[in-house]
Amino acid sequence: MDKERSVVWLLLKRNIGFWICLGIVLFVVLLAIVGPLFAKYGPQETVTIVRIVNASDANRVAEELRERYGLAPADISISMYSIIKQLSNTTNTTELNTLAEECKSQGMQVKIYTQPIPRIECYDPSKMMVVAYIRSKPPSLDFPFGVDKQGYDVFSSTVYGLRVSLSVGVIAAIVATIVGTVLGLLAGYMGGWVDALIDAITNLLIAIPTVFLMLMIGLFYVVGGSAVGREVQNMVFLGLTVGLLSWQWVSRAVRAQVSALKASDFVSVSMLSGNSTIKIIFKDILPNIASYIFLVFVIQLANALGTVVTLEFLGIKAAEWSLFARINQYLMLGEHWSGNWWTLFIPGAIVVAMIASLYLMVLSLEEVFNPRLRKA
Amino acid sequence: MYLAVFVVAVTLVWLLIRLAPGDPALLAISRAVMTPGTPLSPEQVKQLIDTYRHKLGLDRPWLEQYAMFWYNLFRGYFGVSTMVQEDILGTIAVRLRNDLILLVPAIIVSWFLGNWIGAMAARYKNVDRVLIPIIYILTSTPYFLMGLLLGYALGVVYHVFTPTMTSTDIDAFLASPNWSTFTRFINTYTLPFLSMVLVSMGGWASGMRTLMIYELESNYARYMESLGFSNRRVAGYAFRYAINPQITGLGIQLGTVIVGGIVVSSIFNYPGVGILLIYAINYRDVFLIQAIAIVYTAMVIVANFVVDLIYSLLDPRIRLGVVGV
Amino acid sequence: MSATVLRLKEYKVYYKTFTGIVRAVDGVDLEVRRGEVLGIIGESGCGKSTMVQSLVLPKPPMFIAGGSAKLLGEIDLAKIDSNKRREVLLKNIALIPQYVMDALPAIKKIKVFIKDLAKDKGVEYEELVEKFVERLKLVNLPREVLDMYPIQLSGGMKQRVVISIATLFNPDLLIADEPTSALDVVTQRYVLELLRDLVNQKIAGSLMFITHDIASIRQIADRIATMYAGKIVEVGPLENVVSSPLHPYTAMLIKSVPTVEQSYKATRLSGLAGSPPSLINPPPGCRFHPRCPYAMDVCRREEPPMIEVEKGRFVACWLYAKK
Repeated sequence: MDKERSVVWLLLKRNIGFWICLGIVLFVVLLAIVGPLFAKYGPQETVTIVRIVNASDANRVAEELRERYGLAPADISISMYSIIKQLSNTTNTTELNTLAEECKSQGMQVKIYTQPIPRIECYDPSKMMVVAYIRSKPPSLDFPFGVDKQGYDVFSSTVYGLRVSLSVGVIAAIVATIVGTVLGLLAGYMGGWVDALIDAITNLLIAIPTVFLMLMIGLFYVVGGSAVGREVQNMVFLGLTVGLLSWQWVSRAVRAQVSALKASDFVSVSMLSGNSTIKIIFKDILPNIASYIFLVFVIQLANALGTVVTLEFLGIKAAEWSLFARINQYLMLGEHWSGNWWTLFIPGAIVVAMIASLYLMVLSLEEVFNPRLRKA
Repeated sequence: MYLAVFVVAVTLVWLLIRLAPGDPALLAISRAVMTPGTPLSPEQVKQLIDTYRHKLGLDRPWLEQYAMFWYNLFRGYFGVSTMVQEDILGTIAVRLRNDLILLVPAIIVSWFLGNWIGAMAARYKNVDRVLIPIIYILTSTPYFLMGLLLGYALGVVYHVFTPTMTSTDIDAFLASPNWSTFTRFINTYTLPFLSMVLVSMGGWASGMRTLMIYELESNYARYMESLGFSNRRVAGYAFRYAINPQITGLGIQLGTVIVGGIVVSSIFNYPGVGILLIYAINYRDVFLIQAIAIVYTAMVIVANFVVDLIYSLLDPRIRLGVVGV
Repeated sequence: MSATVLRLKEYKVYYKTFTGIVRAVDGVDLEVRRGEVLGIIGESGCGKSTMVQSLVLPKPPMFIAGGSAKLLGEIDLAKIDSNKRREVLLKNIALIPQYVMDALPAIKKIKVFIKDLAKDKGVEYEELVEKFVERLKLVNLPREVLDMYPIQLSGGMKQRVVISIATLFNPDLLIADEPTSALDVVTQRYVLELLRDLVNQKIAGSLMFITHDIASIRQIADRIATMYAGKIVEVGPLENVVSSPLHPYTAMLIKSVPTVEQSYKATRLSGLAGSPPSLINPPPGCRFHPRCPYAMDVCRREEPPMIEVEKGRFVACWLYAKK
């Protein structure tokens, strides 16, 4: 047993592909976890650069920004610098007065309006505001993943979106693995009508395209409530939905393993020596299929990620900033072909790299564990 | 068996709509209510909802609703859609036809091609090393991403094909198949077809590769080699063995592949159900989605049945009723 | 026609594994003569199966590490390429495998299998199928087998079909690798007689019979070779070896099996203590010495040479080399 383990380890150590894949997976997960710390913009914040400068410098600064970011003249606006404050409380004007004093002390011109709502506007004639709207920029040092057509920083939206999509995928995979394992154990160990019932449900889920069910559930419970602040709730719900509709493979695989084990000698011995069912399942069966369940989980994760991003593309999204929600918007507007490649393919490449690495890791592990697949 | 699956699946769809939070009638008219420029008073909205409720029979007991649902299904009545003004079934039928024009050839081509590539990978170690990553990257790509990639590369950057299709491209070809309508059809058809074939081919190839490796290691292959059979012949036998689970796999994967095809076609504005579905989702067109779900579930189940039939014809073990070995 | 069908000289077959090189067959000298049945006996894992497999199909991780295996005095099976080997297979040397139960492809009719065989061997199908039916008659199977799938055949029938195929081209050397291990006792006996008959009728030039079961070897073999840990330790005529084994290992093998004449009470069956040695790092000197009751100092240091004790009787043991 120990010898076999060392052989497995030796083989794995030599399998360069496995380590590359593991590296990619860890990198993508890390990107989703710590990426937002490095993101300069929020998930729904467009890239705009605001400079408040002396009036005489305004044109020069605008020109500098234009050159620095290669902007079209229409993407830059120069306007008067002003502070505008509006009161909701119509009766108390003392606050306005304090602000007015403050502005005046800084040498600003102040206008106070009382109608229709009291508000104050402070102008500084010596200062100008230069605003640069950055849109459709290819990857550069400033924006590692570029900026999309609407002015979103692709790096920021990717890392935030990845967080959402990965979370949903992980929840779905965990749910599917647990449900599938429990049902597979029950079906394989109990047999009889329990087995028949579980088998029937499994076959049903295999025979029908479950994506439609996911769509409809998502439509009613997720999109309907995708108001701000419900993202976490949506993520959990969507994860549960996908997970509860994709455990069929796990259950089938676990069932096969368990019934094989049940027929094996050592489980028979355990049964004959009077061990309880629960003890047999936890002591004799689960430890033997643990590594197998782990492989199944990795596959489920890869599958769930694929399903989740497809749902996002179709418009079922946990958050407005889900990874591919914006592509869905482009499609709705018929603008997906005029998009920029970095908007379309950088997030896509990350997801594909993640999914493919998960599959290839399972392939390597299977090759290592299963001597028949080992190619000398 | 297949009928039972269909009944359960359709009932699930029905239940989902019935159990949904919020009134389906409200959902159905929400778009009309939200349309700017037609401000409705709360009374008018209430009236509108009641009309819809009555029209949809939502004011009746559940069991009756369920019976009516089936009755309507047989009549081909799928409720009221806000997006499609004519009857839903007619619209879906045309789009189903168009989808079949895309799906059937794409599934067949990708299945054969994928199996061939997988077998090559299993047979030749050098080919395998190159093919493994390619196969797995292809199968890991979500359909819509492959569509975007191909469309962008071959339609936008290099104008090899047209990435946007209109229904006339298909209709014209079907109405009068000649060279000019055919080139026009192929010009727009190729991209969705290719995207779909590439992704699902990866899946078949990876499956075939594993199966073939197992078969080539099995006893009959060893026996044939020790009798001096040519490598080609041994591989042929192994392929014949490995193809059986791939046929079963075809049945199992059909749902995924068909949904993938629908999704990828939407990117190219293919006049199938895909683009309709995306609009329906974004406009919350509940009854249209329900109709699409039911019709396409039925389609998948029928396709499954066909695959099972083919399988039982091909495997002597099933044909002869012999179990085991 | 040479009297020697196969001559192995310093024949070595190794396995490449991740933990090292397994010396499964490590310098074997052996001769198979025309018209004889040579039985090879040894524990499982002693390399006997590897030795014959490598003659037919040296597939990685197995590789021939040295020595020669001359077939009919001219074709060196240790050196020819796979295309040449393919020509020799079945025509000169044919295998009856261990795994008869699933040797025949289940999805093709026997007829189709024979047809494909004819194509690959470059012979006429009609001729080959007639020959095959002839062979079937020999093993008491009807012509109808042609139209059946292997799954419709019983284990014994499959075995006989495999034998029929193996003898299609009247091979000079027939190799039977534990052919009876999957069969019930009655069928076993039948198959053994059949194999013996094939050699007697000169349908097969000679037979190498591999088994761990000394009882079946007694029914069929002319000569017997004992193999231990990749080496041949004793060779001799069947009766001599069985009645008076020279090598301690052969003696233990024979003693471990009951004979019909023995009564249960009369003799205690002795098992073999210990297990076969690692073939990655075989023990120095005589490989049997850790388990040998007669082990001496020299056994631990030096490998015993193969010596001819009397005509046709060879043994590799220091007990006899001293003399």
